[in-house]
Amino acid sequence: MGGRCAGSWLPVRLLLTAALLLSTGYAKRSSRASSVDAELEDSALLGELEALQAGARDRVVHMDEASFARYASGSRRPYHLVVFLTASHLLDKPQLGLRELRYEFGLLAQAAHKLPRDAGARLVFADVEFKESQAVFHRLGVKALPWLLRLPPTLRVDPGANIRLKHEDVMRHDDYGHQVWKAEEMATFVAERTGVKVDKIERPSFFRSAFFPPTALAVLASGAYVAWLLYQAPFMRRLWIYAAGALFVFWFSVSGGMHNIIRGVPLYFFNQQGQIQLWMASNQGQLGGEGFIMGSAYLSFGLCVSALTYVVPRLPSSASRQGAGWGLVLSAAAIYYWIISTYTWKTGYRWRWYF
Amino acid sequence: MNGAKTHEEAALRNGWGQVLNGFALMAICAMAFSLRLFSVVKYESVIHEFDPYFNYRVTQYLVKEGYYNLWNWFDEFTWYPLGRVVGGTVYPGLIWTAGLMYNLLHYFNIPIHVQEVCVFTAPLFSAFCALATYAFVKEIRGQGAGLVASTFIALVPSYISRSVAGSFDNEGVAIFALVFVFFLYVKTLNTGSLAWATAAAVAYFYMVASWGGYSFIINLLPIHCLACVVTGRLSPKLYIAYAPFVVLGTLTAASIPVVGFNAVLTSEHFASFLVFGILHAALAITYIKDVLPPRAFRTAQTLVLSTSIALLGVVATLVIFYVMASPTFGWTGRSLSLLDPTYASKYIPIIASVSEHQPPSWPSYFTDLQAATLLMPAGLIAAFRPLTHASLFLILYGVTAIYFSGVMVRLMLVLAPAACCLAGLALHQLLLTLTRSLKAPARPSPPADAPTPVKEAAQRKPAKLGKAASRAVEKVAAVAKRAWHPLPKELAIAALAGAAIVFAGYTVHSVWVSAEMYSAPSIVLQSRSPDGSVHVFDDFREAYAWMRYNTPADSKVASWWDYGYQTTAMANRTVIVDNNTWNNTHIATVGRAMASPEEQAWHIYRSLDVDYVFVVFGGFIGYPSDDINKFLWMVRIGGGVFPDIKEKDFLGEGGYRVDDKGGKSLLNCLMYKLSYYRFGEGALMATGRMGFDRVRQVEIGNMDISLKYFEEVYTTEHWMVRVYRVLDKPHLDTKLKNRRRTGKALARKAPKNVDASGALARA
Repeated sequence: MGGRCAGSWLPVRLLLTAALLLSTGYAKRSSRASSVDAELEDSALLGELEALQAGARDRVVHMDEASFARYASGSRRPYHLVVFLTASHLLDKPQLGLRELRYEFGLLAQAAHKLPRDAGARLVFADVEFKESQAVFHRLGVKALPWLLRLPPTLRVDPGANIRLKHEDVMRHDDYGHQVWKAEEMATFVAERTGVKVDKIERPSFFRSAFFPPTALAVLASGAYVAWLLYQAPFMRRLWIYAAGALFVFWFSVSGGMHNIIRGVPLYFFNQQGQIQLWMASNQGQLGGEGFIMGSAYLSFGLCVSALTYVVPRLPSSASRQGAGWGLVLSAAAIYYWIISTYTWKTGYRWRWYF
Repeated sequence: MNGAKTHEEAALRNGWGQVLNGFALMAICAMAFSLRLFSVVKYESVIHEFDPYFNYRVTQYLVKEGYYNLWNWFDEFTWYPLGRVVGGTVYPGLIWTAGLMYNLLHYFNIPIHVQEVCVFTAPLFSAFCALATYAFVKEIRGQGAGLVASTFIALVPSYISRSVAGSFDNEGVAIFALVFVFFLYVKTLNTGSLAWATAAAVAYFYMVASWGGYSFIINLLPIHCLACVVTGRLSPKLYIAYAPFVVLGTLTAASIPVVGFNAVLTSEHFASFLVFGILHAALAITYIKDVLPPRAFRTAQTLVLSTSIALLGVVATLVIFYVMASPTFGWTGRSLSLLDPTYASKYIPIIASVSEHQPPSWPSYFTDLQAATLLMPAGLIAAFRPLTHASLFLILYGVTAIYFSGVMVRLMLVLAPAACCLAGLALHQLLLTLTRSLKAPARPSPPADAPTPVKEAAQRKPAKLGKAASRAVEKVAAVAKRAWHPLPKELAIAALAGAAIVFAGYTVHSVWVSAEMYSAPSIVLQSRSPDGSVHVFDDFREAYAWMRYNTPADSKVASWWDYGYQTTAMANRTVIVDNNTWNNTHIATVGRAMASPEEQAWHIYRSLDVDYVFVVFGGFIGYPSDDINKFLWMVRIGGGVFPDIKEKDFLGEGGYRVDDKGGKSLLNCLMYKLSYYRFGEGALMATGRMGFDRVRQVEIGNMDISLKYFEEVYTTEHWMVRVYRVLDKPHLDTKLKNRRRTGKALARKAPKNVDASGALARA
């Protein structure tokens, strides 16, 4: 009884097994077919992007809403999309430095383009402009520029939906400083996220161009010629020109002119009430303007002394000697007093007598 | 008969003048020396700061082992495990000087300790410097100007800052050497004597042996020589002053090991050779012009000119290609940082981190030079009237020095002698005018040696510049060549009084600056309480003495490089890095360890065989120059070599801060832990507030610090130096060591302890 039963179930079993086998085979084939489709699609996307990159001036693909939707959407992509967001109406705002940033971004894109194909993950550099792609900015939730983002290949992006990037996938002023980021800094950002190291950023430098040697020679030759002409020129024999030059160097240095250049200090700034502020009350630094005022004070004191020594005794009339002499002595005294009081105000030093 | 009497009177007056001059000079020297003793009076006779400790240690070695052994000294106490060839990397001038003085004193049976010799070397040499300045300016404009200039330099604060008693550093003798070389050069220019030229070369040898600043001389002299050639001041005297100097000077400079072949190979020295060639060419042209008939000379001129232009073209092309091939365009970092002032701050953190490499602002000039700044322009004008070889040299010195001082505050020291000489010149000329006006008879007549107008300017027709400014200057120049009249007497008296007030102000300022600003040895600190009593903080010496007597003699001590020299000299222990910052990678390794979490730092220190680590901490008493305030430089220097250290990880909200809003990496790094270990309760003692840091004025962000790989072994009285031992093996349970911890903290940290015991089991 039992054996019969088993025998009667056998065909059903076989049938089921066959069906199962068939269905798995079909499923396998269909999945293979879909992966082939995806690969085809990937390579098509990459091909398009490569064509766009080749056409772009600095290998940065310009994207509008439609192209962003095409290359960023989907559950996955075969590349990291590195996007620089910009706005044409803010390009000239110096505090944002978008133009310079975009230039640096272009340098990075060009350097990355030169990497060998097997260097790691693929990178696609793109830029999106605010006025023509407002929706993209909205989807990314961008509040302030500059904004550089990396779209990971595995992040799912649905068309039209908001894109939620991780904090670390965005390069913002708050985290990376308010200066204009250099291409090297952006390269570090990209390398940390994607593992693709772009070591050598090549800046187009005039020193490396083919025009440099002839230009330099021409400049040298014409410089030498001008120097020769100056050497021959009679007015160059006048000593006061050199004295004035020496005094200028003195004035520039004691004014802290180099300090202004090295530290990038402005001549003055506007305080919160909108008034010009010329003086910095701290001993630690100075503003450009106050430095030049004080440098001029140092110089004027010296000039008073010099005029009293050399010019006044040569004045023919005794009245003019009297007037000019007293004028010089009193102005020198006034300048000296003013320098001392400004100096003590600025530094907070009070002299103590040790006698 | 009458004439002979007048002559006798004049001779007698001159004799008295000389005697007075001599006494004045002695008084100036005494003033220069005694003004620098505030540090000894206020503190004690002790070596100051950082670098002097190294010089002191080398001097000790010299007097013990002799000159020859110093030459070959390899010091294994520093830069462990690399060591340092001291004989070949040190500027030995200062050490020779102190060693020689020590030997001399002992030869005369004056049993003085070598430390005393070192302490008083710099004040002694500032007195010598006053004498050298007198001689230098005397060559330019006579005795009177020399005396005023030497008074200025005896008092100038900028030089005081580097030459107070105890400041045993290269600059202390080098500024004297600098002025002395200038004096001998100008003396040779005036006399044309080969003996003086040789003396100048020997003085230059001493200067090269003393200080890296010799490159200023080897560039200034060529500039002066070139200026003389270009302005038609070529003379045999110039040749004798310059040519032997370059040849002998370069040869002797190259025999100092630390300079060696740099004297002919680096760009800083090229100018002298170039001008050497130009000088010979110019003299050859003059000679040929004399020998050849005019027509032949013109032909030869064309030939030589075209050949040299072609040659120059080839050379220029080569230079251009060299520039294109080199990333820094063929210049060394230090000279680039002078020519392009922003270079160092951008690319070399180890240069940018030192405060004396910052550019000065306008108050710095007044603090460091005071009245000399105000009189310098008048001195520049006085040097032009009349312009001689010697005064041209002073002008060039002044202009180049003031330019370079604008780039780095450190170079103010090179400017100080120039400013003093120019100020001396200006004040001398002013005093001359005023006193002559006082002495003048009612009917004016020009004094015999009144300043004469410059002839060149007078003889030429007005230039075609046609600008209002140039006309105004012409007018002034025209006035200046008229007859000399005395100033009104009351005006002269008022001006003399003004000059006296300015000079008195300068003296008061210098004395005050010397006493208050530059006399602190920074190894011993003082604070003044409101009731006037003085409290002394002697933590550094306490810590070094502890290390000297309580650690094994062969232990290696790690700290930030600032304290390397002091550790070797006072604790007599091997250090990893020191103030001779020759190996950036090694310093970056220590910076990296300080910036790493404890475990990682322990691995780094173990790999360097470090036994003890110490940090300097000011939060307890409010000492601002501590390691926490220097920490960002450690991160920057470390990050320059090891990119895994990033400055932004150490910054919290709104920048660098140590409270709970500080950067996460900062709150967990070794430097933070070693500085603030046990500080939560410790601060209670100092301020009454838990964990309150008196320098940063905040409550620290991490009070719950436990150490697993390091062990506190000594903390000084005011917590300024905290010494830790690097453990051979990590603690089994850090919490057992710290009974004050709560059970909660124990529970939170428990898993890590398992790791530790595991690590121990494996070990």
